[in-house]
Formats: sequence, structure tokens, C-alpha cells
Amino acid sequence: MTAITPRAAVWCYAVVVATTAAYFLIDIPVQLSDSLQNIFAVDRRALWDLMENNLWAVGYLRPLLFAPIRIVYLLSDGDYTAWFRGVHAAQLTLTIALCVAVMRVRTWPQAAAAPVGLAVLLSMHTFADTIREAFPVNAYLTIVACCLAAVLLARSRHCWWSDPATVLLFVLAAFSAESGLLVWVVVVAAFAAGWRGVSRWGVAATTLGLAGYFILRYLVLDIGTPGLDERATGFGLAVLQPDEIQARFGANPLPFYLYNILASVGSVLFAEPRAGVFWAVRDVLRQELQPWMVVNIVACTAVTVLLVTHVVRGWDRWRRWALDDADRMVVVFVAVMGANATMNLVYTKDVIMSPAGALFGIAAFGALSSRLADTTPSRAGSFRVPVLVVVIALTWGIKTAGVHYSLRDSAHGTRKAWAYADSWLEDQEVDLSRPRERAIKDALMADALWRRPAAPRIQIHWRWPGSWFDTTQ
Amino acid sequence: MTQRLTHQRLTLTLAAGPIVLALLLVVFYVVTEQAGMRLLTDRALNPAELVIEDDPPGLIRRLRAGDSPVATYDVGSDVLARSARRMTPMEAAAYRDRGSMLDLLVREGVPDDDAMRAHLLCIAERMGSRDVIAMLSRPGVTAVCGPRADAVAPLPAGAGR
Repeated sequence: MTAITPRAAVWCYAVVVATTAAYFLIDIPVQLSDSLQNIFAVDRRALWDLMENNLWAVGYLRPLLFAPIRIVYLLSDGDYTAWFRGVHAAQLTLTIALCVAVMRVRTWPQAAAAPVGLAVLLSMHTFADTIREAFPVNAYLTIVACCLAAVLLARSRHCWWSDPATVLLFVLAAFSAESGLLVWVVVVAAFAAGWRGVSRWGVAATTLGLAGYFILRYLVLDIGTPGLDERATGFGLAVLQPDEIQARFGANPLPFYLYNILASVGSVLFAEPRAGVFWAVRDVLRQELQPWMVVNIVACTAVTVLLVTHVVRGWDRWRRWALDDADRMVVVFVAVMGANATMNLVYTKDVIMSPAGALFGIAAFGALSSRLADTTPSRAGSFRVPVLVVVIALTWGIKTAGVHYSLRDSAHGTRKAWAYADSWLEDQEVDLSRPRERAIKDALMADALWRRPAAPRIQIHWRWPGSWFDTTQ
Repeated sequence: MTQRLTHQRLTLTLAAGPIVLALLLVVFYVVTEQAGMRLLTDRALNPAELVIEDDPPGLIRRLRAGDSPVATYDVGSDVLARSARRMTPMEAAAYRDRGSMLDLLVREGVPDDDAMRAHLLCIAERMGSRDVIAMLSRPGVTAVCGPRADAVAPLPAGAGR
């Protein structure tokens, strides 16, 4: 009889993670607010027309944003909810599979660290809007998957298709949304850290692609970047509206930019602030601090402490730049986090930081597996379990249960929105004069409200569990 | 050597255990849900209770399944957090200040006439349901508190849940 290997154990665990997450995700109807008009748009225009139209958007260069929506729309043949949710579940499964492949588990300490890495990936607040929302194909999740795929290519043995595949990933991600440029950061950071799956020619080709992107964006199409009046964003303890931002920072936006960058970094490393707002501080002042906020802050801070101690313990290696795989994971995470934060210059959103959040999970896995491989009894012979490891396990355990609770909560919220769809569409002055658009709306509404079976709401009447689960995650 | 192995196993278990356990609890919940067991969900609620619970999708589902939007239902004490009562979905909306539910019920075919408004206005005023009062008030309509003035006749002890 052959005993199960660490690798097989982790893949089995990942199958359970993906299945349960997909079970809760599929129950969420297609959104009304962010998806219906996008579906109308892909119904009206052909694929090339959609791509060309997105070349001329002000402040954004996203020609591939609508392409997957159009393709899934055509494939669905009217069964919209099943197809769009099915594709979303497939995206999530692919992301989880890429994460496990990047971890490349071979030992039991690595196998023990893998659930932590997956928990950080799925339960991190920056990941929430990649699974709770869709437009109706989630471009942010596509970019997270592209970044993980780039790490995997960099970490793997180089072969003839590694470099072309990397360039293709870059093009796909960069033209889906601006945060897709992070694929280039992954490739360069991984190469600098010592992974050679992508050759220097691959790095050079991706860098040429980046240069081409900037030439196209700023010189050929003159798209520019979003201005301060783009949208509301968090600042300090409140959310500033565009006119307030303009009034306070219009003359000198540098402090505002710096705040947004630091707030984005803080959001990943300490779960505070969130989208620019210091929620926990605000709620402490109001004496309304919820346990889930404390769990979030402790969970993220504990992983940050783990990463810092990992570097300190291996400082000799770092000083000589003789990095092992765990170190390289930390390097790639730090590089992506820095670059990702600069993309939040004019407004901050948690989901924009989703690639950094995902790589936070990979770095946590690397640092934790190193720490677990090093554990030894104390000199006195007593068992000394690292407190940090236990804190990480407990807090991310709570968040693992919470993310499923949050998904079910989202399903109910989305159904509720559909219950009031007619009033909302009237308020938004959405044009439903075409029979096809009315038919699409009616089909999605019927799916959300009565055609598809709806899983019941999870009613937790005891006070403590409800307040310990983060419904924003 | 043995001590080191035991220690490492303990550490690995503590590192992964809580997260794996949390996932297993989720799996257990999914299995019970698929088996039709209600571990963390309420009993099936009637339309008036769904209005109280602010569950419009549930309400629409029940109405499409054939429940009457104008019938009177028993509302359990578990939903009201006080003694059980009998009321229609419209009365429940006025009772708990669910203005949007009132609007939804009208869209679903409940007659919206002055007599109904006057009756609901009475309930809303008694309960201090500001949104509903604002929605129902229109020239010529004043609160009429008839025999069902409280609108929400308490059920005998032990009725409902």
C-alpha cells in the first residue's frame, strides 16, 4: 500500500477548496448593477466593434475587457446565469489550481503551509470582489490568474514555449485592465530573484511589450490617466467625493497620491485602511468595533510579521542575494505590492490590490513552510509551538469559514437587488425599449428570483459568529 | 529524534489544523444543505414573515408559487421577537416600516386604493413607521383605525413559534 504523498494531499485539499467555493459562488445570480448594461452592450455590438470602442475610452485602455463577456454571451444561447456563473467558477478553480502549482509542494511542512496560502488567497479582503462580483466576467480575477500563471512559468523549467506564453499572458492581462501590467512586474521580479523559467529574452520581449503599451496609450491613442475627478475614494476616516478631492488636493495632488499608495500597501499588510478609509479606527472612536475587523487586522499583520521574520532569519542569504524559493516568493510579492499600490494613485479600491493579495498568500506559504521545516524542540526538551503560527492558523481559519458565509450573503443581496429591478432601472433611466433587452432583463430576473433554486440564507442568530465573519470579504 | 518528529507533527497539525477544520465545517454544512436539513437556516417563512424579515426575493418566490399577497398569515414570535400575531403582507410592511416591500407588493398586484392606504396608515402611525407614512400619505387619505386597528391581532399563547 502506498501512503499519500504531501503533493497528492494538497491537490485533494485544493479540490475541496475549489468545490466548496464554487458551490457558494454559483448560487449568486448575475448582478443587476454592474452586469446588466454590460450584457446589453455586448448584445448590441460585434466583438471587433467592442474592442475598437474600448480603445477610445477616456482614461482607460481596456480593449479586451468586453471580449470574454461577448464570447460567453454568445455561447450561453440565452442561458445567461448558468454560463456566466459557470465561467466565473471555472476562473476561480483555475486560480486555485495555479496557486497550488506555484507552491509545488514536496514535503509535509510545505503541505501544512499550503492551506494557509490558499486561505490567504481566497479569504483576503482584496480578493472579495473577484468572487462576490462579476461584470459579468470578472477581469480582476483574470488578472490574478495571469499573475499566478506568470509566477508559475518563471518558477518552472524553461522550455521553448515559456517566453511566448509569458508575452501572451502580458498582452491578455494588460489589455483587460491596467493592473494587468503587473504581469511584467512578476516576470522581472522573478528573474531578478533567480527564477529562470522565463529567459532573459522572455523578460526583454515582455519589457518591449510594456514599452509598446505605453507608446500606444500615451502617444498613439492619447488616452492619458484618470484624473482626480474620476471617482470618490477613502481618505482618513471618511470617503471624499470627487469635488472634495479636487478642492483639497487639486493644487498639489502629491500628498493625496502618497496617501493612496501607502493606504494600498497598508490594506494588504495590515488590513487597514480599507479602500483608503481607516475603518477600524473610525469604529473604535464610535465604540462600534466588530470582532471581524480585529480578526482581519490580526490575520494580515501576523502574516506580515511572518514575512519580516523570514527575511530577518535568513538575512545572511538575502545579503548575498543567494535566495531560496521561499525568499523568491517574498521578493515577487514585495515587487508586485509596490507596483500594484502605485496603480491606486487617484483612487483606492481593495479589489485593485487583488494581485498583491494573491501573492501575499504565495509569500505566506513560502515563509511558513520554511519556518515549519525549521521547528525543533526547545533545549529544555519541552514542546514550544510558535505562537505566530497558531495565531495565523486560527485567524485565517475564521476567515476561511467567513468567506463562504460572505458569498451566501452576497447571493441574498443580489437577489434582493433583482426584486427591486424595475424601480432601479426606472431610476437609472435604462433604455429597455428593444424587445431583446427586455427579454434579457426578464430572463436574468427570473433566474435570480424564481426560476433557479435559491439556497437558503444562513441565519446565525447567536451574536458571536455573525459578527466574527467579514461580509465585506 | 523521536521527540523532534513528534514536535514537528504537532507544529504542522497546529499550522494547518484550524483552517482545514474550518473548511470541513463548511463541507459539512454543504452536505446537510444538500440533504435538505436546515442547520443554520430559518424554518420556511410565509409572505407576511418574509416582509418582516426584509426578504423580497423570498416573498416573490412564495407569491409565484401561489401564496396570496392579500391573505392573513400567522407571524411567529421568532420573527417578531415578541408575541405572535396575524397580519397580511401589506400590514406587515406598515408594521415594520418596510416601504420598499409595500411598493413591491403593489407591483405584484395588491390593490392600492384609498381604503387600504387609510388602514395601513393607522398601523404605520401607531408603530412610528416613518417611511411607510411618507409613502402612503396623499391628499384626502387619513388614517382610519377600524376593527383591526392594531392590525396585528396577537395570537393565542403558544401559536406560531
